[in-house]
Amino acid sequence: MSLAGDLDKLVNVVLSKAKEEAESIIAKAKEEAEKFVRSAVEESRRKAEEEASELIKRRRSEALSKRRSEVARARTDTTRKLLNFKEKLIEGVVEEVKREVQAIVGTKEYEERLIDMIKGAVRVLGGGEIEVKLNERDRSLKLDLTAIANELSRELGKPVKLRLASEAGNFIGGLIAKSLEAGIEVDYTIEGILERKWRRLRSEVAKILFSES
Amino acid sequence: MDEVLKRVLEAEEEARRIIEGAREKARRVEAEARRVAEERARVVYDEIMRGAEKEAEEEVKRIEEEMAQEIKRMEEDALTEMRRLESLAVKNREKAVKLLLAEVLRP
Repeated sequence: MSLAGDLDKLVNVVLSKAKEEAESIIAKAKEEAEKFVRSAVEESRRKAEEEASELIKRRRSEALSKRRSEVARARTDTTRKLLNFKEKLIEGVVEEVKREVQAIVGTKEYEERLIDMIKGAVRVLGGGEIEVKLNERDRSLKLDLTAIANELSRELGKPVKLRLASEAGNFIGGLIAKSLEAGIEVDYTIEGILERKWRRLRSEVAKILFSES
Repeated sequence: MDEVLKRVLEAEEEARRIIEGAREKARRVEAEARRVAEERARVVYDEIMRGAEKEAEEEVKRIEEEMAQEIKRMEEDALTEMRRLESLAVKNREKAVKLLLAEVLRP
């Protein structure tokens, strides 16, 4: 082999090795690039799936919390509406009673009841000088207060003097009796009796009103 | 000999250029890979998050519908109960009024 031939061979070997190395560098770079892209996409997918799961969980939790609170509010509202409705029906009985009282105040039966009420009030006050306040209509009944006083005086064994108050009371019926000696009052007005008894009778009235039997 | 040395040096220089060219290309491949990776990662992320948003919206809608039904049922039950109470009150009103009236006229 000539020197020139050997030199050519050497040059070819050098260049051939350089090309091989170059190809290897590029192939490696491509391989690394593919690996990098795959890894980046996988990492992004993993991160997104984690965040997506959290997002769905958070939205569900918020919606459930809102649902709990709205349902609780609606339950309170409907319970309140129901209670108000019941109360209205129960109060309707009181209003009906007031109307009934208005209807019977002109009757003989009411007059007898009124006299009984006056007697009852005097007994509570223990006799003495008592002022009786009636409403305008009952004043016109011209009750014989002296006769009532005499009867009670005999019953109680002490003097009883009844006199009509100078002013009429503003109530449906019944009376207010005031002991002028002790300065104490007995409220036997229909409204007063109703109010006092209502506290005790309310539950009984409700029981009757909503009874299935 | 000078000629031989010159050719060898030229070949080595050529080999360096070839390798340097390959390295330069490898750097471009790497840069392109970073760009592609970023773009694909964003596409994948956006697609998954869009799906999650849709799923979350559907879930919220389902819960809200259930809530609305529950509230509606509750209101209907209350209305039924009101009608029942009203009917009982109409039936028993007279009895209740009588009891109270008797008590009012008896202090």
